[in-house]
Amino acid sequence: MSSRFFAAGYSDSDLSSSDEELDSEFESEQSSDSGIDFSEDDEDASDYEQQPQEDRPNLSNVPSRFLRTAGSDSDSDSSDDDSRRVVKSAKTKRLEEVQEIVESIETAKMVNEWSIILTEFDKLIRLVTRHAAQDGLYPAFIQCISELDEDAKEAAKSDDRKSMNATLAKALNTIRNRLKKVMRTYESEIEKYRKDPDGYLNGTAATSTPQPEQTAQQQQHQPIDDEGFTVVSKDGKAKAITTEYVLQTLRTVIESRGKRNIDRAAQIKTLEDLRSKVGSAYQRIRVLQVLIACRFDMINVTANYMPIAPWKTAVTELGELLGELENAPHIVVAEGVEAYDDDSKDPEPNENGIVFINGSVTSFIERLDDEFTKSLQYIDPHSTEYVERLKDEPSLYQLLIRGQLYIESVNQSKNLYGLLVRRLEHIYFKSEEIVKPYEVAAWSKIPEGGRFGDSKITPRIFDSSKFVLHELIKQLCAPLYEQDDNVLRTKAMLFQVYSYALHNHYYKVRTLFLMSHVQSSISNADVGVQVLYNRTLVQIGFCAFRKGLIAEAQQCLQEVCGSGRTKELLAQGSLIQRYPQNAGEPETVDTQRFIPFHMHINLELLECVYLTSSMIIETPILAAAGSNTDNKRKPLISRPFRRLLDHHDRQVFVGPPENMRDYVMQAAKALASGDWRKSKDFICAIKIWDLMPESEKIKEMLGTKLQEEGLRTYIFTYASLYEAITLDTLATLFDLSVSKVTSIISKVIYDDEIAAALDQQTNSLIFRKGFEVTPLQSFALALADKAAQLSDLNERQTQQSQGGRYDRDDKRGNYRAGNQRARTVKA
Amino acid sequence: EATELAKKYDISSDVLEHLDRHLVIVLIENLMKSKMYEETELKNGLSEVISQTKLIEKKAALNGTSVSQAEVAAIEAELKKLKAAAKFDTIFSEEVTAALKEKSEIEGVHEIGSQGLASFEKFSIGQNEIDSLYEYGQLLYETGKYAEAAEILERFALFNKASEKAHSAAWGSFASRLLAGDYAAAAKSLETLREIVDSGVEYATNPQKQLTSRIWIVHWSLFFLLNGGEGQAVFCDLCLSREYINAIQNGCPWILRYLVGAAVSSRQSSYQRLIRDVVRSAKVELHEYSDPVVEFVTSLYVDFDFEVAQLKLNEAEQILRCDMFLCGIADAFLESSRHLISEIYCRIHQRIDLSDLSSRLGLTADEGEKWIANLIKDTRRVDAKIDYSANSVVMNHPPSSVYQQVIEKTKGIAFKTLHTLNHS
Repeated sequence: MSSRFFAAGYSDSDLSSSDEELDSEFESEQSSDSGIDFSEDDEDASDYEQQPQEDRPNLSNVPSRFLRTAGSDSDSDSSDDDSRRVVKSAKTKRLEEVQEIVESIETAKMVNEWSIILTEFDKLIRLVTRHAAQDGLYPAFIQCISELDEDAKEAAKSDDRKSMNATLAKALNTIRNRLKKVMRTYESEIEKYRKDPDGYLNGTAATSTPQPEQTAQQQQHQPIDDEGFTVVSKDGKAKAITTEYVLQTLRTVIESRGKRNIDRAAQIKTLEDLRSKVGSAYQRIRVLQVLIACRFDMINVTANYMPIAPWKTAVTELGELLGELENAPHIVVAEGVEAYDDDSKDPEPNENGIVFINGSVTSFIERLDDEFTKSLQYIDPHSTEYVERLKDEPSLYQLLIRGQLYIESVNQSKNLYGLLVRRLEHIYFKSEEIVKPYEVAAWSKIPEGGRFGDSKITPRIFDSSKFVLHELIKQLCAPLYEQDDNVLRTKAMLFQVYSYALHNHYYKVRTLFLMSHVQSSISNADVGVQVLYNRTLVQIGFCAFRKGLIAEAQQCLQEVCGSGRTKELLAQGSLIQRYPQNAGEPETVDTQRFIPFHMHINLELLECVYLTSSMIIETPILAAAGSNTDNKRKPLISRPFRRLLDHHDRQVFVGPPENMRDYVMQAAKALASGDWRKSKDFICAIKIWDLMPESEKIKEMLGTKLQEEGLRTYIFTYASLYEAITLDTLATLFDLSVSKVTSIISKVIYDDEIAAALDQQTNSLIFRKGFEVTPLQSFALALADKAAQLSDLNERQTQQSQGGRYDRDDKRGNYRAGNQRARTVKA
Repeated sequence: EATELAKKYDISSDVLEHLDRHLVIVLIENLMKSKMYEETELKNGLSEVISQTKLIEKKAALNGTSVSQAEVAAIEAELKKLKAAAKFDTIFSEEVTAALKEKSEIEGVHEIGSQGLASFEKFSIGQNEIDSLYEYGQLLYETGKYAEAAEILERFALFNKASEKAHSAAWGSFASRLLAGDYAAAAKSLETLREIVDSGVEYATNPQKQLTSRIWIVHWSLFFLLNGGEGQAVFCDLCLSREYINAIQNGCPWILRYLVGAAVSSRQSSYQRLIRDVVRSAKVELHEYSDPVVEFVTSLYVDFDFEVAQLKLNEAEQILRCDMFLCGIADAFLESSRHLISEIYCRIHQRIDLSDLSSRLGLTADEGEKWIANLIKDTRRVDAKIDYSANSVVMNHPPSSVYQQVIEKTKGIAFKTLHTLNHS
């Protein structure tokens, strides 16, 4: 949708940037034209495309006559003259340049060297077009092309042609083709020249500026210069504002859109002026459409986002447009409607009593949404400006709802899904308490019972206490799931999962996430979806963590945190320039992809959760690996955790913890030495937990985990030092009930993790001796493990190469929330 | 009290939803015996189900009326007509049987066999005959002649393996075999059906449909449990396979009860090991479904809490005795559970108090002693001695040799590699 809009917006910049290579632009004139045509409000798009030359002179008739009148009234238009004098020297230089080229063309013509003529001609056209804005048309140029045209015709007719060699003939043909185009463009001037060659050359060349500027000037005059108006009315038009006048002005504006050197502010002024005067609903809607489109044109190409003031105005105007549409049930804005090009009256309704207007409400809304996001991407998030900007979100959100209602009521379902996705994008990462006032405020401004008063997909909430966020998200996602478009379905699923995870519905999340098999296809998705996927993964990890499912949390977060490129994966900023040689370009691309600050996931919290989970899982494992000092042979769960731990170990002096990492490391050390209380104190001292809802409960949960894992670590670490130990001692040491201790130790024994057994009569744990393995034996065991791994890998490989029949994600991964791979974002 | 507990954990309604009408009838008839529900309620339900079938005799018996001869005659006539239309004798003639055999040897299971029908033209068998054959089989099933129906439907499926109708014929013959009580043949039709559901085009492209079909298959396969030992094996094999374990977790967690029941009572250590994995990893799933049978295994394998396990075992026993599919194996389950408990108990402990163990097993002190004595005598798994004076059992845990461990770890590799080779 929005791309259409961009096409219109960018075609403008295309023109200016391709200035240097007019050649190519010239060739592709047709295509760039069609780019402009795509803008919805170009009422007579097709017409314009087919016969632009006829249209333009027609148009210019009115303004040029008007101009000339003005010119003859005051012969020396002083301001005009002044500006000309300023640029004089430059202008003469350019004039000389033109003359030079014309001369070389003349010489080449003598010897029939058409290939030289072609190059010179191209140069000439480039020059003329570039300077047309400043200097107008050079009479010499007109003379040259007019003569060239005649010569070319003659050459083509004459017998020489047959004797010409291939390159020359080809050049001649090219020139003739180009000439045709050029002649059409400057038809009126050439006409004038042919009537009176000498007079033209000496005379009024300077006044014949190209048409676009005329139009612009004319518009400038109309609203500001009241005199201009009276001139027109003197001409015999008694009523200033007629249907014809409105529609014609509109047409003028539309056609000048996307061209260079147009005073857009003036255009908007014209339209605003027009708006206050027009009568029929049709006209009002048309004017609003064009006006909003023009507001988007106002965006400076170099600016990163649409300025806020016009954005707000556009929001209001779009609201008014929707209001007009509601009040005028017989008018429907739709895409791909045939243009209506009778300027004299409003169109007649068709047999169903409906007037169709070409255009798209959704693309306006989507564009506004895009601009909103862009502005948030570029505004400094720590400034008040950012906060102020965020306050505009409710109005945008309301617009999204209203747009949805409109689209629903006119049944343009293919536009609907984009809007639903955008609405979801605004709410999926927010908690219910935040979304609720949004919804209530938005609906309160939408009149009840009107044509667009209620929605089938998301029914109006009459009683705000009954609002349930999950219901809303489900309603929004339901139509998306039914679409064939994979992207829509994936996005909807991720939005829903994210929201569930945010509200601690871990099991729903798990089922939905695993059933979707999204992890197998996410690598093919586009970057935006992958970022969303990574964000969702993090949120699932948080959710599991809050539920006390440490292993699941660790697995989810591993993919994002383990890589060390967390920031990039979550699109929350890039690392320090890694590619200094092409520093400029990728940065802008990245910035466009970044998630606005208010949606960010706190990276420190993320790291804290990840490290804490890793610590709880890895410390007992490290202890079980035992006295084996060779670090490489200890099983590795989390690389970042292990790296930090090693770093911590290497420090000569360990000071009191200062940051989150220090706290976790010292907690890990305390846990490893069996002191769970100290470990818990360290963990609980981390301030960032307060960012989690119900942080007290989480600390409590962590405390329990530390007790249990502390017990395991203790047994692993000190097994070799004991002959026997009573369960009561262990229970008091770790502040656990005896039955819990028994259960934990039973598990350890059953899994063959320690060589020990319980004695029921003395109620103690008895360690067996004589299990120290020799190095040879331990190597033999390691070799056996490696061999088993190898055979496992082989099996997996063959199964994978067999293709879809065995979906690996189906297997064990289904029990664990693991097997998810975070997708890397590549620039 | 027992029925109270069984009622609390009753899952018949969940199971009923996924059964064919004829299977439902069998289930309801069984429920009537267990007295868990109001008899009138069940009767109403039953008559409703039967009225949708053509089981005339059952209908009459339920209403207490005599069998209407006219209806019987009408059905007989219909059967005869279809039989004739299907050229029954030709289709079951030796020549056609041979030709079909040849055909199925050439074709794979999923190839479209439409051109294959051409080869049967010489027997003047065309699409019409085949379709009549299908209808004939369907009617036989409807009227309760399951064994015949199965024959006919299987024959039909041979003609055109990939068609939609062949798939419903596969379902039909599976149900018929189950209802006819021919479990060996039913296991065969189960294989066919599984293959269709696992890799048939319309299933493979529609995960939703595939999942639903698997859930149905699992439910129908419950009838295997009525077959004792062999049936249990079939059921466990089905449910413990990867796809079906997923289906159970996602769509019908209540089947876990039957799976656990069947696996535990089977006394096969391979199933028991698998069930332990399932329960451990599916612990998360338990928030959705739980009953004493499942909780027994979790408390035993996940929490190692023998007190709870003991409690749950008592409850589980009551439930099993009321369950139509599991009542036959309740005793085996109990026996087997005791083995499991004592096995784990012995493994963890070095010295066990005899009275404590007895109470864990739900036995008196004397019974307990006898039990452990038998265990030591019969199995080589437990190496222990009873210390009568201290009233305890002393375990002798031989240190597992490192070399033994290496052998254990590498044992499976050769087999696995062979398997991989054969399947690639």
